[in-house]
Amino acid sequence: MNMSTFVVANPRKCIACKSCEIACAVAHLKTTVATAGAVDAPFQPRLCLVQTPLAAMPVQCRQCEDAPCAAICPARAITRRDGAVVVDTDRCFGCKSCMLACPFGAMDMAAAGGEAPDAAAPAKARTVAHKCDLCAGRPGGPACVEACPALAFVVVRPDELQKTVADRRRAAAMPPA
Amino acid sequence: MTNAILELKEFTVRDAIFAIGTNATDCHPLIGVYMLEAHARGTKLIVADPRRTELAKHADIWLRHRPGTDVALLNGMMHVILTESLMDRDFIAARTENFDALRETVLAYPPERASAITHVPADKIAAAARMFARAENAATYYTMGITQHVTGVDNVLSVSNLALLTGNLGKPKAGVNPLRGQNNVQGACDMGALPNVFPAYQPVTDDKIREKFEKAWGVPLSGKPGLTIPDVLHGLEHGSVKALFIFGENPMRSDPDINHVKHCMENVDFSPLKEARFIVVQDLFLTETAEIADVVLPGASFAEKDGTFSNTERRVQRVRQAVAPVGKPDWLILTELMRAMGTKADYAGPEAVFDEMRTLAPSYAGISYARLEQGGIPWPCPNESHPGTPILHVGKCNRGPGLFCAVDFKPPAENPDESYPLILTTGRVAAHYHTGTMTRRCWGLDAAHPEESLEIHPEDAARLGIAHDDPIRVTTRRGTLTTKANVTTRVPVGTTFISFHFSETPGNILTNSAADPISKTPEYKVCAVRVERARA
Repeated sequence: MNMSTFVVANPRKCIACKSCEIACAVAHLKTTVATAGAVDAPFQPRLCLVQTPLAAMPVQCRQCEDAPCAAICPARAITRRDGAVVVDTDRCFGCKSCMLACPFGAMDMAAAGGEAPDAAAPAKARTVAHKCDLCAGRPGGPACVEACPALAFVVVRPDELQKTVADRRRAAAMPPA
Repeated sequence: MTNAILELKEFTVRDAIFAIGTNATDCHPLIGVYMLEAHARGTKLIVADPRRTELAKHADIWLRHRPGTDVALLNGMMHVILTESLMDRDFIAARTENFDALRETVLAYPPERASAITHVPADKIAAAARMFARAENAATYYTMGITQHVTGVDNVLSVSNLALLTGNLGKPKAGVNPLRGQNNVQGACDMGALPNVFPAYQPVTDDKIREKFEKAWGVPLSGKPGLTIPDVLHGLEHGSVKALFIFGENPMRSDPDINHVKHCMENVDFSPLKEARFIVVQDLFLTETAEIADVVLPGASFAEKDGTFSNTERRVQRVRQAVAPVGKPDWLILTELMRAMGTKADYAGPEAVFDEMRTLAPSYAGISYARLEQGGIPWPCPNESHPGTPILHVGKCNRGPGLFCAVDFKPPAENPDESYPLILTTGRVAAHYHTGTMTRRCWGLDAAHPEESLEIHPEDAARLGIAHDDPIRVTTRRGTLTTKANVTTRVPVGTTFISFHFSETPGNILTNSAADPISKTPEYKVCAVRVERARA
């Protein structure tokens, strides 16, 4: 079975510090965090820390197998690449259908090229679909996972998911002690 | 802290953590994470906080007490422990004194009475008391939710009474553990940056101690305790204080009742002594306080510093300069000032300063830079072969027997009334540090939490016709500001919350400068406030 990898957080561990949001925004900067302020780079994390009365956790893309965002995209700008659902920002024309379609609220809109250092006049930049790309190409893997002080994130890989499920099936098949 | 931070890694299902007046998950995130990890291993977690903090959300028992009622809450818990015979009789007999006075006071606080004062259900108070007392080891952690009250000292004494009553002192995974709010505020206190003591808490009023320092420093020293911050402001206002050297502090944002602070610092209106007023500020940036200073000196950041930090568990650790200071190292500026004022001050560097200090401060005597190369050492460390003291009061308390100090509940200085019908309490958020001098200048931190909002309960908001994100005006007897409403059950009905990180909406323009009579710590945690929808 060809399943995608995804990142998910555990609300039992999350302390709502937003380190993940900052790490995500930094990981996608085309400049360094030290100069981001000087060039007035927009802050565009691809996940969102949510606090409810019961718990807190960051919410981001589940990299769905039959991704509603991709299915609805009239520009065919959202496709699966290397196991992640990614946005081709050149094709996207900002219709926001993906925002309506995503059941997790994981889709956002942001300034195209806003993560580049010379994003002159981001107000004039095109607004395009913006989502978790699993930090594709980043040597350390997803930046949110690395930054979390509470170790609240899990990178769910297909083989591990299948192993977990297999273990649970075995446990379920075991007679009670 | 009487105990060590990493003990949190050793807590088991038989132990309990009691976090009172500490929003550890926001303000001490790593300690907060250790607490949640211990809880996930089965350690009991009791949280007492008016706000539904992340830590409170995970607690086995959450005591949502009314701000400023900590003594009643703790006395109520101790009442249950006494009447259900859950106290540690052996510890009380062998290690403490004044138990009878405590018993007499605490017996006047049955859970029903404590409940009427705190608004915590009586059965929850009882359940928390049982959980704490029945744990093999129970450690109490607190921060400003305990200390920033007119009853701050009483609150700390109550925490101490609870630890003594249950034998939770002088052993691992126990104790009375204030989590300090800055990386080196423990060190600053250790070094005598307090009005009444020389380094290592040696009283200025003690002739022998003073002679020791006079001999070492070659100058006569005053035996009169200095001024606390409220007294300094009063002195400025009335002309008895003429100069201030403010070093890495931003009282124009961090002190309560900023309008009054500004009045005192600027001393504008009725000031025959205006010319005599002289303020020096040494800081990293031109803070709101530096803006009104006569002279501003460049402070060095942590990355530019060489020396030691003493952290919340009394652990002395080396900090090594990573980049050269933009100006001069702090110690050099201070020694040049000393020389300009005619005092001898020739030190080769921070190590020489440290070595002089440890000949005078017994609890630091055994700590050297060479030893610190091997790792941090918690004081007291009386000699170079001493390993340091991760746990205080083992075997016996520093003063001898542990002293029960019975205290009665006293209400906060300012309570809601018709004109100011809600309670305002203040604190911090995870992304920002103190007055934002550093974090508001950090791209990621400021973007993650870019603006202030006032937390207000949905019922209060509905009654006032306020919706989430509405612009609102927040007013106390001392000042007013405009911000956004954060309509949330994070705060209880009748209580609102604001931080003090945002210069454009400074929370401390609202707070009350009424202070604890002993510590002089102001009551940042309770005042009366009026909230109304602002015209957009």
